[in-house]
Amino acid sequence: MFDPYETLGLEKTFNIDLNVLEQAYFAAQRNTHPDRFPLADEAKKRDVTHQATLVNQAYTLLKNPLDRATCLLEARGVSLLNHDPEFLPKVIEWHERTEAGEDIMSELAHEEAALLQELTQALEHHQDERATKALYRLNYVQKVRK
Amino acid sequence: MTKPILTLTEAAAGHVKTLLEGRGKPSCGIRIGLRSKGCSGLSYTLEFADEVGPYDEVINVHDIKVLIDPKAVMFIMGSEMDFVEDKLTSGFVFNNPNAKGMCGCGESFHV
Amino acid sequence: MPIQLVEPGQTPDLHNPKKGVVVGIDLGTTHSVVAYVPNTTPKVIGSLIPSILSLEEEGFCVGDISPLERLSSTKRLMGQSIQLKLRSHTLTPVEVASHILSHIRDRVEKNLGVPLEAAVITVPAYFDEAARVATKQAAALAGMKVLRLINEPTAAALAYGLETGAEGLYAIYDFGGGTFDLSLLKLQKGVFQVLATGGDLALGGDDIDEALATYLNTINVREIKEKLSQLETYEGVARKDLETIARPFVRKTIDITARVFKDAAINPKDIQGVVLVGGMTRMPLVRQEVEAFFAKAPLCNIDPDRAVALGAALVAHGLVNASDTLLLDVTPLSLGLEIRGGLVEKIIPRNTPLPALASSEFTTQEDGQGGMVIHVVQGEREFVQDCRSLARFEFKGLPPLPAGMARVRVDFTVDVEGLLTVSALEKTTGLSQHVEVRPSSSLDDKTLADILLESQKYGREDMEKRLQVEKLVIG
Repeated sequence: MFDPYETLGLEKTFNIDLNVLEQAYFAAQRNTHPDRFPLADEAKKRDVTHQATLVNQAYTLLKNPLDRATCLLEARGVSLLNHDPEFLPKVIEWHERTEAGEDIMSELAHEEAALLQELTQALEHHQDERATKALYRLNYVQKVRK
Repeated sequence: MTKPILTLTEAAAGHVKTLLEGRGKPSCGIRIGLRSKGCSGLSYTLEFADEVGPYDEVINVHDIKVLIDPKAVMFIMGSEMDFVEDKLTSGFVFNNPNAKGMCGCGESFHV
Repeated sequence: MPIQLVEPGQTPDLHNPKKGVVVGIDLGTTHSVVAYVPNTTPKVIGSLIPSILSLEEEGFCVGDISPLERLSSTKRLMGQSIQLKLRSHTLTPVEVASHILSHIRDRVEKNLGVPLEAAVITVPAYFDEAARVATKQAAALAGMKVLRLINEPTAAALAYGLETGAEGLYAIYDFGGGTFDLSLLKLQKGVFQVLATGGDLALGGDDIDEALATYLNTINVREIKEKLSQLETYEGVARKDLETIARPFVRKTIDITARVFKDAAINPKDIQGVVLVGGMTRMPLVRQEVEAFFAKAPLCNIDPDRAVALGAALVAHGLVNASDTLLLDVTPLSLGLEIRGGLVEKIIPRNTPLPALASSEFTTQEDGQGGMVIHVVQGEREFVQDCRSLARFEFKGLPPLPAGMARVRVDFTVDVEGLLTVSALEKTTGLSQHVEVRPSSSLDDKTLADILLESQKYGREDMEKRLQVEKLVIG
């Protein structure tokens, strides 16, 4: 199975220094980028191109905190939430207030920041249930904010 | 008396000296090397030398320092370096008593 | 064969005394430029070559020869299968480009006295698949080996970055005769990373010329436009009037620029510099608008006409000399699949780092359905009809299964040149085939590749694979 952390040779933690991530990305590309194999035959070129696409995918996933969290949980075989009934009242409330013309953007921003904290701590302490809940809610809030 | 590793004809020495003078920067001498290429296996290389390589064989012929790459020493033993000129080309040649065959274009040899 | 006394390391290749050269070619709308790297610094070979084809007594000629009866600015037609008339001949844009490339090759071989081994050819970042493939076909027609295609702004960034050692966020604003590109790059030691790109293939100096010609009711406007970059009036035309005409076009470039920064989620004021490339950037109005948008003066310390070719030459040199420099580019247009209702489902969004991969799984709608059609498009719009049709291909000979049981996994790979390759794998039988897609040249239904998957029995060991791929090239 595709493991972005392994592809870039990084330790499986949620908190990543983005500079470290970027350097790992460049290092991985230096090994597999098709430009490094200008005289290779078609089969080899296809091979390295495929490897390079995985490196790109790994970088794109790990750059985004939510995707990163998803990768960590999936790697441990944890199933993600599809819905969260406890969260529903809040969702309904936000809908109603928006319909009424209220601007809830700054409140959503606060909520997002709080949930990110929650997710970080849950992952640090390997509290899977707490983490999947935070992740689900974060995904929702981010979608709404867009 | 041991056979000299390499001898130079007057013509060859003269041309080498002219080329060294016209090079435009100081030289240590000339270096003869060997490389395997071409249809018959081996061929000599001839370059201006900027410094003596750690394993070069050094001989002084006609007041010219000739450095010979260790790889080439064995094959060049007893050869004579000459300068030839005909209607089409001019340049240096090695008359090598050891060479058993010449490739069609005369560029490479095998032993 | 006599030997020569040469400088250290310069012993010529045996049996191949004249070693060839690799070059970079900027195949521009109005001018083409060729460059190479003799030592470490790139150099242009000769002067700018007008991208104009005419037919003289001695045959096809490239250059500004006949004022009438010529084909010019055909670059923006690349990828379209139209026929252009030149006296009694008809040529496709690919053929015109191949004549220009032949001319370039002759120029290189005459100037340097060695054969042209291979070239890196540049294309606008915003060139779609069809136009990129057409460029490669033009090279093939001219008997020229292409090391790879490279995007013009990326090439210019490389020339700029390697010359100045600059690091940080840089925008390349490339406004040429026919096309506009804006690329946002992050430059650092040994890495040139494109973050986002945008452009317009129908936005260039030629369009401004056309508008000016209409306004002045005359055809020879290029000189007027160029002189007004230095003078306030010329031949009775005031710079102010030219600017009024040019302004809407320039505004469009700023709008595109703004969108690219939005895509990258970066504030334009946060970049280190904006580099100007292309002849149109000589116009004072362009410089003013760029400066206003970025709140800093644009950088003009590379030759706007030659930067792209110099960068391409550096890429060519780097490829054959195993350079350490990393060029990380992105795809400029989203790749999508047609789904029910004529809608587009995006599978590779624009600005995805290249090479990129997307997989989709397809299955059958009906029992025993023997095949399926997959339609790939390129563009940002929601409906298929508004996008560029890239390829339509059929899978035939699927094993007879109930509806929904066949599993055809299709992998779409966009490589570093921006070209699409499609691989198909039918999971129940394990048969696979990879095919290089040739884009549709017209908007009507044309099957480009038939992939025949045949199996006689289930079970791998018993299967006889007979795979046939027919590729129809744009005619």
